[in-house]
Amino acid sequence: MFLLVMVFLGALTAGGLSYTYVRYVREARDLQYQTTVINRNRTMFQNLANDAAAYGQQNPAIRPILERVGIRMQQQDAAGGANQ
Amino acid sequence: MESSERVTPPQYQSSQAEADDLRAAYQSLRSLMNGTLVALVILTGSLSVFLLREVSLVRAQVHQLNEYVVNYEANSVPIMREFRASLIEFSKVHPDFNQVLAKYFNPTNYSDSAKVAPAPPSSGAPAARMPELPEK
Repeated sequence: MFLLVMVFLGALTAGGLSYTYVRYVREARDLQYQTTVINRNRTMFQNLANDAAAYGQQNPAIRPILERVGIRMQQQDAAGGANQ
Repeated sequence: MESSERVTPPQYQSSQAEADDLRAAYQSLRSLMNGTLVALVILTGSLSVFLLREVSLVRAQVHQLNEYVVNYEANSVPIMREFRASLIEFSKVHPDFNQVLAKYFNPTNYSDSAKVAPAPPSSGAPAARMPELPEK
């Protein structure tokens, strides 16, 4: 009887842990997709900043925008070094 | 008289042998059942320990990724929005900048600076567009 109770409790624990594991794995998968999107966003913003900086060689009027965002990017490490 | 008492009837001998066989089979079955239950206890215990470790690992990963996403939304997204809005405003004054901007943003969305162009489909998108940013 004791062994039966132990088996029942073990099965119950394993079942609950399996459910929790599946739930966390699903959440981690969603977050990994979001992380991929975030990294893509940062790369594209960096490319945009690079193109804007290249445009700034021809038209210096854009430089205040770049400098303003660039300073904040340096401070907050956002947009992946778009202050070039 | 003694010899008649010692002699057991064949039917009794047969039922005694059957009872011994049944008793032995019962003991064997009981031992087998106990062994199976012990094996199941060990198996479920090992599985529980394994799942517990996996759950803690995945939970730590979820926590880390969640912090990364929250940090991005709190710090990077406002800067990206402001940068995008500034560039769109700049392109209205300097139309030649539209060539640069069109590589990243859908031109139809220029007029509405509160919204950001939707993300391109991940497969086979030839032109790079600015992906979506979460709304506040």
